[in-house]
Amino acid sequence: MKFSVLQENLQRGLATVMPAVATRTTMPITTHVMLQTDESRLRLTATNLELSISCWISASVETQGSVAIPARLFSDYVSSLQRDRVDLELDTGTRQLNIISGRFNTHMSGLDADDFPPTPVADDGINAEVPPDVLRAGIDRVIIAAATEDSRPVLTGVHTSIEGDSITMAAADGFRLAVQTTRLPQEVSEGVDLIIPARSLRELNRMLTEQEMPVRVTVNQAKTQVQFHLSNIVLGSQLIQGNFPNYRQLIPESSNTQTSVEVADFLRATKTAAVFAREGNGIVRLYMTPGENEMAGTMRLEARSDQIGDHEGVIDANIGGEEAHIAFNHRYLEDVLGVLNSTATLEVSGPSSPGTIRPATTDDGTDYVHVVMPMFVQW
Amino acid sequence: MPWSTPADQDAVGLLDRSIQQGRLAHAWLLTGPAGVGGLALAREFAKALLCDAEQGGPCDECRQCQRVTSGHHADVLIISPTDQGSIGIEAARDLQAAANLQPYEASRRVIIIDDADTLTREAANALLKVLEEPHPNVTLILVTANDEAILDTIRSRCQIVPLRPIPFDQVADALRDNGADDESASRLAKLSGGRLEYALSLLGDTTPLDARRTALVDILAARGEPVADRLRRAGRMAEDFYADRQRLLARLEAWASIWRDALVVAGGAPEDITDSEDLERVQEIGVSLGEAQSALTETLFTMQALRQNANARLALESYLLSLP
Repeated sequence: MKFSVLQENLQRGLATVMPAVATRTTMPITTHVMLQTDESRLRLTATNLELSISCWISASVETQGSVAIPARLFSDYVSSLQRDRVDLELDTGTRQLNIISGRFNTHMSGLDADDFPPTPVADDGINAEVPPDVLRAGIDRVIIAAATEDSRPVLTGVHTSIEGDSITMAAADGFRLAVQTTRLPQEVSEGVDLIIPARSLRELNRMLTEQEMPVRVTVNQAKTQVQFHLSNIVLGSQLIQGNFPNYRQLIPESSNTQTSVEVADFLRATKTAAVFAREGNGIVRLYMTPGENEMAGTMRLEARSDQIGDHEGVIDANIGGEEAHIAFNHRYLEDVLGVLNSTATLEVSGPSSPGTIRPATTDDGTDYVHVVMPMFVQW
Repeated sequence: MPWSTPADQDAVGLLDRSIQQGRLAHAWLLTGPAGVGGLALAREFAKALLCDAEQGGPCDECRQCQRVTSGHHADVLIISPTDQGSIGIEAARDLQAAANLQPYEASRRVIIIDDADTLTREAANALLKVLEEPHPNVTLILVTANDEAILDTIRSRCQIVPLRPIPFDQVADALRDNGADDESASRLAKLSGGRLEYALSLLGDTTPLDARRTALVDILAARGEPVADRLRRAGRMAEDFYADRQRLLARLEAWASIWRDALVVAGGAPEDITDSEDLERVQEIGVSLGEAQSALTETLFTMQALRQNANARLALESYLLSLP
């Protein structure tokens, strides 16, 4: 294997695949990055057996080949080089990679690329095209509700179902549930239900900021892997085993009080109340009072801490239905309000029933609902 | 295809049939004395489970088999005790993560836990969670030489496969197949007590044989020593233990083997002695049946105590003073 690349391209490529390099592992080769010539490009691949990322950069290839190189070492080394051409050549006998940049000459020991975990291929199954902004909006709004601890493994994933001309993403952690449905530009021929690790989607989301073309999503026949094909990048993820809870039945169908508020006001009022709620047990109490005689209604937020003191804030709200009160954990409110804009609707049916938060106006074909369990407090 | 494993063929047959008949338990507990080949059998079982060949048994030729053999298969996770001698929560988290993801390159995941008796309480609880909600394409294989130390809650969720020592003649045959001459084949076969993997390891590495020689010398020397000297000996052994736990434990294992021979000789069956070359000197120890038995028990007890972090000096002092 012999090829030349530009230092900045190599550095960027390495930065792209690094999140998939295993940090602690039972299989040493997964701490390596695989370099593989692919006609006139260089392919870099890393995998921790859950997340795998491949990235292609332009290279001038003299002879084809592949090798696995210690990822952190190689990445540290490459980022220390100056912006110049880098020539790399592999001694296939010793698996030593010779790297020459300007007057720097380095040798690095690699491992046999054949021992590297095979790159998942997911071209034989389901195939869908999703615009990057649809994916990003879905991930942003849903991932906040995914569980972070592993006590129920399926809940650390995002349930993603592609059916007909829509994609639905859902996450829940036992206290809240977020579901976003978006229309796809093209119908898919075959529907699919997946549980994708939230960690993998978080990485995908970071890469989507630079993506303009639609992302091709593929799932292999055995439904064990999903791949997201971006420009010059393929991110693959193992899927989580198990059944995602049937969340549809958790979304309340009706409510007694409907409150429509400016998201910015609601968020600021929640953050202020959170200063006191944080010191207590995270409780923010909400009191919804409908307006009288053409006057707008109000929403009052209360929080108190025995040590510090208490706080009460009032914001304008359009309230339909009856007067109501309910208590939420401030963090859950902050999370959901943080991913919404303009106006949101909070619907409640009583202090012990879950509340739902939705955007007041929805874009064409997009539907988002966030269900939060209330906190049980003395009223 | 035949399974290439040093283990008991009854156990191999059981595993093979379970694959052929599609009656796979999601968790297996392979239990038998150390050196009987449990881990090797677990690996072979993993191969058979993942093998691409249609006919049962590992073909050793397909990509799956080869990657398992080389230790690079992404769907085979082997967890063994750390240098501290236990399997902790970190390893158990790896296990949980692997068990909850879909397989990477094969049709199922195989997770092997060697020396499963060394799981810490937290790790065992994490394992239990995986066992309680098994996924259909995950197979767990636990291997242990110390069956009683496995939590009942774990054991009850596993299909138990006892691995028995194999007959002396078979061990000797296998040793000859691996290039041993008649004399050493028969000597090592006896020494291994039917544990073929252990016997094979002796072919290349005679440390355990040398350890027996040293143990015999030590025991004979300790026999005549006054109390003060025995205490000093215990002190030296404790220092060795702190320097290298495993080595001292291996040394005590050799002591146990000598006491076992002393028991056999005292019981009037000198032909059953592990290594007939040692007969004269074992006779020289000259203990009664009861004394030999209690010395053997004490040795095993002390090894257990040391593994469980007893104060090494106290444990070894008490051990040496208890010897006849």
